[in-house]
Amino acid sequence: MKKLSMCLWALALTLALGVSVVSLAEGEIITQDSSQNSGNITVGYSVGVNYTLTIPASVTFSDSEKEIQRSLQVSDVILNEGSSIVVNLSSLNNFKMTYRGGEIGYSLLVNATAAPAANDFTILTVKAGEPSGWVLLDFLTNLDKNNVVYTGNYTDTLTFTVSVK
Amino acid sequence: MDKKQKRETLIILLLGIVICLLLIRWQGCGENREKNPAFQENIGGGVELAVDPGAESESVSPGSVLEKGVVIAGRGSLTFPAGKREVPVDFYNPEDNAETYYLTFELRLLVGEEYETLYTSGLVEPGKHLYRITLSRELEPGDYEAVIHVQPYRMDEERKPTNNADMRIRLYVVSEE
Repeated sequence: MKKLSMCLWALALTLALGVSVVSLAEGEIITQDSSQNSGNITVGYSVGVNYTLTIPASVTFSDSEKEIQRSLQVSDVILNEGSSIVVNLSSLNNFKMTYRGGEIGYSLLVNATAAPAANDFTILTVKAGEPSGWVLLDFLTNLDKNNVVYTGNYTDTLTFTVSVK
Repeated sequence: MDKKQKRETLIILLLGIVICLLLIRWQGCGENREKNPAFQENIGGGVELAVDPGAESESVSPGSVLEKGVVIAGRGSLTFPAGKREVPVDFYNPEDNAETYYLTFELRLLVGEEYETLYTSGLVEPGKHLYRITLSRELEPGDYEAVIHVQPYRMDEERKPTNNADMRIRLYVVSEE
């Protein structure tokens, strides 16, 4: 009886192996009866455009600090071949710190060169193949006060616009 | 009391008198210093002025070069399914901003010459992601110009906004089969 049972198990196992199939990829099935017992699958990962931008949070002048240096950095750059990252700078108040109608002007040097007389200009370009780039920004003021009659915090807000071209 | 003892006693007495006189004179100077401002002027360039230990060097202000910048993760495009308001994204506030800046994200679609805001987030803490957002409307299939506006806020009680960044991207809206 024990021998018969063993024989039945062996037969069932043989039958099971005989009709087994191997799944490789969706839509592709190879059986032992196939003429070609091999297949291909594609392994891939799509890499998109990526970068890390580090911007100066704020610039705060004082009577003893009329020149302030900041830097802007683009790092970990992954771009399509032939393209580039372009960073523009613009000011909410056209490079004036304002408060209740009064204003205090300031100017900017980009890598020690005077910035263009515009409110939106390019400060940095990083080309494909370059892993990073940075620019030195020098903010200067002589604290010239126009229509300043109130005490308070005179502020401006900068926007750094990044385009992939 | 012999002669020697008498001499020693006399010397000790004389020394005591001299010390007492010196003490009285020193105290008198102190009173003058307090009462008479002119006295201060008189000794202004003199040796009695000491360096004030309470005076400090110029402190490093928040506006100095040491201030930590805001780190923003940039991308070139987003892909959304057409006809759906709930869409996948990955808006991320990097760990580098820990304990300094929250970030908010605003998705703006260029329509003609104007930008239409499709989504505005709340404050995202450093190290956290937004993986799914709900747009203000569904989009038709197509290829659009858009901007991800990133506004940082300081992680203090005032939560003041800082300078900000606009990332211009391509927005691909595709039909789902």
